Amino acid sequence: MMKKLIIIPCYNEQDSIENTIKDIKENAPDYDYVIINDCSKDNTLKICKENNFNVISLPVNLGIGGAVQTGYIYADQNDYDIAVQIDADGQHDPGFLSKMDKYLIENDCDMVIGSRFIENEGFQSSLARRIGINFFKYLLKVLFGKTITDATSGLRMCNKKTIAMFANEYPVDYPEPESTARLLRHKRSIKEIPVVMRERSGGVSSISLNKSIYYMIKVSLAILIEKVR
Amino acid sequence: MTLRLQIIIIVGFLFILLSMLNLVKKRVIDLKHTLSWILCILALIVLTLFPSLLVSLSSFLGIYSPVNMVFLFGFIFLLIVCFHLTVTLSKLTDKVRRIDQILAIETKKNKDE
Repeated sequence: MMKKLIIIPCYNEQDSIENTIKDIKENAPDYDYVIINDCSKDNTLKICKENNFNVISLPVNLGIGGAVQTGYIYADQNDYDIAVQIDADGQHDPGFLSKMDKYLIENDCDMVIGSRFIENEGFQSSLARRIGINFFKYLLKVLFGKTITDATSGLRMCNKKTIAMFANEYPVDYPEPESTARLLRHKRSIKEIPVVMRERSGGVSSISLNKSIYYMIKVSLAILIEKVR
Repeated sequence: MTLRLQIIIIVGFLFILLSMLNLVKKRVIDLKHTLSWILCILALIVLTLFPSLLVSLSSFLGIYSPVNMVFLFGFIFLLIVCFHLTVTLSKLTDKVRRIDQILAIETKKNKDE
């Protein structure tokens, strides 16, 4: 029996966390989950405690990268075979997990990404974001010769080897495209399968409009540096 | 430079030097990060005592005015210190993150038991 963990990084998600956990318990019952509460300022932690959710609470706010990495450290320490990230805001449908882990095991992948842009179904994000995501697609293609249609996707599943790698080192902010580049540099196999994402049911994106220019520059540079490492 | 000015400047530098060493003594700042400042002040004291050094050094480097050389060196020194702080800050951030994560996980373990 494989040990499978869902990592849920959480910052101010009081409106959606309960439903997300309920959704997981119903649609992915063979998974353990852990919520990483990144010093939420709202009632997230209180809700987690009241409902007896499995939660790790960071004493100091770290941002998404540090929070997710905490989940990978936890997965690594507790010997999980598979770990998958899921956003707390209800964007990701836990129903896709069994499809993803089957694919990961059968194809012996190091990471499986749930991509919105293979079948282009469901919530497709805003035009500006799609342009950004497409830019990363071409950047990764040019630098590493592999097509990743949705490098920014937060729905990503890792095997044991990748869990250990991420536990050891993980980008601090906006980690998804950079860590994808890192895996590609290490010649790890990354596959994508089509998923349908929903519009977030609560909370706000960590990338606001005026941060997006910084985001594009920082992440592009990080990917380039990854290439020359 | 008049003797009076030399004395005033040197007294000023000595005051800065002593207060810095006092802070090291009180463990407010650590010696490792203060060393570059101390060396800088010592160099400035030497240059104040022997201003002719400045003139010969600047003519050796082909800089017309000794004052410009002082500005240049001061600027370079500050850049190096700033950069060193960036390096130190990055390392510290890394360490704090690791400690935060481990602390959170250990706290959870203790609660579960």
